Amino acid sequence: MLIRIKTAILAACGVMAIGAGSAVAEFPERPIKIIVPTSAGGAMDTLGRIVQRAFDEKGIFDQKVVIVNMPGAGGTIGTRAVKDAEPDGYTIGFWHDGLVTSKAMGVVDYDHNAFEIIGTTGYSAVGMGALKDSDLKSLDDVIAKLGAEPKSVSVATNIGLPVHFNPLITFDMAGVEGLMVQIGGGSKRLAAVLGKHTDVAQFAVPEFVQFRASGLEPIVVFSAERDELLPDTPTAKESGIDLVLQSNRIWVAPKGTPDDVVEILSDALNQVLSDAKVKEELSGLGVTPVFISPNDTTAMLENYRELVSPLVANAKSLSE
Amino acid sequence: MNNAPVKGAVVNIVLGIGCLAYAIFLYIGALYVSPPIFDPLGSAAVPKISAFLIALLAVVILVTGLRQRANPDVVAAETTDEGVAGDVSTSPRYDLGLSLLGFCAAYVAVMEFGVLGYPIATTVFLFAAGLMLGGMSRRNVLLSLIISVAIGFGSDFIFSEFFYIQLPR
Amino acid sequence: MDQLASALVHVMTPVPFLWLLLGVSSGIFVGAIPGLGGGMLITLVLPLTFTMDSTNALIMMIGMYVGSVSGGLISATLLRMPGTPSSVVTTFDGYPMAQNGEPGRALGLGIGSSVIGGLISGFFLVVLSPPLSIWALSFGPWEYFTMIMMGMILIASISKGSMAKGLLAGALGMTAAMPGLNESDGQLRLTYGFTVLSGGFNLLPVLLGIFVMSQILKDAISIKNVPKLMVSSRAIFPSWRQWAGHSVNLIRSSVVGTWIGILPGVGASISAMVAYGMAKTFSRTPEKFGTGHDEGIIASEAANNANVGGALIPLVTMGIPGSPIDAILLGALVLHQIQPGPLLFATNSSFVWALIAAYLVANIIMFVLMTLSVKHLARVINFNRAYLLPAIFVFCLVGAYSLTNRMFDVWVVLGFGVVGFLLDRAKVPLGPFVIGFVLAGPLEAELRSGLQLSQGSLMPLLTRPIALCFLAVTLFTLIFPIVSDQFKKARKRNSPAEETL
Repeated sequence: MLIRIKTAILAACGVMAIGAGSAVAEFPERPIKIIVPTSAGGAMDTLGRIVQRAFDEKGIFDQKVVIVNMPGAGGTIGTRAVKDAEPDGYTIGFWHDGLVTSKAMGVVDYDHNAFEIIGTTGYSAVGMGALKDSDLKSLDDVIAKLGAEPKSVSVATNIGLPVHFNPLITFDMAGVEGLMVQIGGGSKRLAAVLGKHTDVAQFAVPEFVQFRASGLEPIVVFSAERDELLPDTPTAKESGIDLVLQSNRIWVAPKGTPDDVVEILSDALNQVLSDAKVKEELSGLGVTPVFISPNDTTAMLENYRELVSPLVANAKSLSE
Repeated sequence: MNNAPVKGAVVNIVLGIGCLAYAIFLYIGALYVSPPIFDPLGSAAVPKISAFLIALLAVVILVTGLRQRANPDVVAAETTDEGVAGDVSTSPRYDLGLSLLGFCAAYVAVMEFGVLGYPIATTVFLFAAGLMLGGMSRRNVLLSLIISVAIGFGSDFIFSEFFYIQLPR
Repeated sequence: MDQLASALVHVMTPVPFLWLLLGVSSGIFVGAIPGLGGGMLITLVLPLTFTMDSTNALIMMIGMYVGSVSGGLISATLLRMPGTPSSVVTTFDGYPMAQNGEPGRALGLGIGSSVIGGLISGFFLVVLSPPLSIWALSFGPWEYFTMIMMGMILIASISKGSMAKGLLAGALGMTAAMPGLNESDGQLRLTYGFTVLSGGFNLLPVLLGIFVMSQILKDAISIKNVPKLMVSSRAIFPSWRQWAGHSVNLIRSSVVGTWIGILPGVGASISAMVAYGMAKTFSRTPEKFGTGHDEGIIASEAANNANVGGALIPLVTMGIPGSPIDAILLGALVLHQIQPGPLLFATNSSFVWALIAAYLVANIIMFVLMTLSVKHLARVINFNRAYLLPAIFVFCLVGAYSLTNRMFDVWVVLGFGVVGFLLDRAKVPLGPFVIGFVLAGPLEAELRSGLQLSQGSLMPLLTRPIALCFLAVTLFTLIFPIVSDQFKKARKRNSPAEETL
């Protein structure tokens, strides 16, 4: 409660500062911290470092931009630190759609609405894949098999995160039940599918391209249209599941950060993302380098929240 | 001479009671864990098993301690290594350990609550701890001062300017 | 082979060699300081390498990786403070040997085993990378579960003294791994309402607390009578004949280290633990373990260095990181515009061979540097503790803090330091505590994943051959001592001539 009051007062101060006019025009006056909710290494951290380097190299701000790793608890240690930071624009962070799922899982009591959304620095188109010589060649095969025998298809997931919810949503819409298995991060999921421990798992489209040589075969993508990288892989829509999902890189600032500071940050990210070198590096990371505005980002997250929330309640009520 | 086994017995009794209390604390915590959702075992099972195991072992140790206290001579042979540990010329200086712990805690606290930044807090901590552990001789004061300033500001320079660690300011 | 030869030649040319030398020496340095480690060093220098040639940058980072894993043995041996988590097990025998007046021999054994372990895994990296990384895929939840359980049981009786206290320490350590977000069901547990606990206790702060902070306190209370070790701390290498006598242990530990390195998500500290447990099980003198025994140092140091080479195998063949530091290296590849993945060998083979060559040469450089410098580094053993102890705490603070950038982790160091100190006073061994702490998390997680897969059935333990093998070894280790005890007792009863008691 106390913290909330403090935030409100700080927010009010922020509003007054805008009124005064001059304070914000100078932003930034000191180094900006980007909180990364994972440890160093890995796709999220590398994205942060690409953006940070671009900020520094292009001199977008006169100030230094630093990466602060705050891993733990499914990213919520980092997102909570951003949420509780002073809303002055000097502490920002980014995360993926786990912003929504962590609340749905009951790990934290806040979601994207507790932040000012700065924007989305690209997304990964996602899909599900199986081993090349598996008898599951399409989403229809998976649904047919599950329809004949519930839980007969195992899915490698990271429970409570989008890679867990997206297959859940898919199966829920198809009216079937899959076997969800906790495996862990991306490389462990890949190993689980390649080692035939689980049948399918969600991956990003560029990962399919990258690991095709190992025997990983995409069976469905959750995009609106077929992906140009995987022209032969049908969309979920083609299998009658009207579902469009992607994995976004969402940048947030604490609630109450002045609007024009958020706008400065938003413009800066947009500018970085239009750089050819950054685009190439993000593509290498499996991220489609497109900037998505704060409003569109919020709309996507709201949409996702509506898909995800009922599923956990269902799972919990089933177990009791 | 005969006092070592008795001391060992008291230590065992305290350890047994302490671990028993911890096991209960853990078990109560496990009672509040949500029931299994996505797997058959659930999150409460392993903590509960561990709590039982700790409680069992704690009782074993407690009983050993009580037995040792009841007849110290019989078990004196069991605690032979006690003699080796107690073979030092002077008794342990628990005051120094406790003070050092206090200094460390204070050092962390002043940074956590933003009273002092890393370079100054580190310098003060190293200087104070060096004096406490090393004594107040003139040589020690001088050496402590040099070392504390060198490490305090030197490491701050390296970590902040070169390596971008976000140390508390 | 041609490619390896030309890569070795390339690494030996002045510029790459100097970067590698810089990497290895800085790695040894941070590795030797408790609190600082290779992962931290590589993360921190990463931005500084952006302007470098990408091959040189990665060569330097490989050097740092090898150096840091090796450097940890110095403080583990001399101060009983593991410089890195992977050298925890080295404290079990390295420190007692040093205290018995043979610090030079303990260091010599550690350094020698490190380079041999590193080179044996280097051999696997060069010759058998593709088949090994494919075989590693056959390890699923049940194999992981039984393997970790086997490791745990092998070292269950790791310490001398009371059996009950050893088991208690292990159980207490296991509970330290439990609070926080649980990956198996995505729920919080045992946080008692504190959000700061939602991430649980991290590996590094707990290890720093249990081993380093508790040792700082222990040294502080006896600071007035720390015995001066007059023996020279120059590395003293055992003779070739003695090495030859340890060859089985060296090879076994290196193979264990390599294999665990290949498996993603199982760290170097675990490989040292499993190798130590196996060395003890197969030893003719298991009772000597923990008292400053050669075999213990050899198993730990050969395994943790072999782990580095093993962890590089899935990285170069499939683009899968075998350890957290490899994940950082993987990120560094992307930042240097090199696309990791299964095609890396095909598209960038000279680069991959340069990395492998750098790894091999780094081990040699590590050996030479450690042998030359250990005499000077070893002076810390007689360094005035009044200055040493506070300074070590400062480094622990920096290391723990920079991990998650919160003071909470530093409080964890202090808290577990007090716990470790009190347990040590009560003669509860700290080794099993750390083993319980490190192994409990994966053990529970893999079991629950396995149960998810089998929908609650334990049958895969019997139907999966590798899991069944591990299970059989585990049961054998549990039952054999009891049976052989009974056997010995029976024999004693039959020969009343033998003096009793």
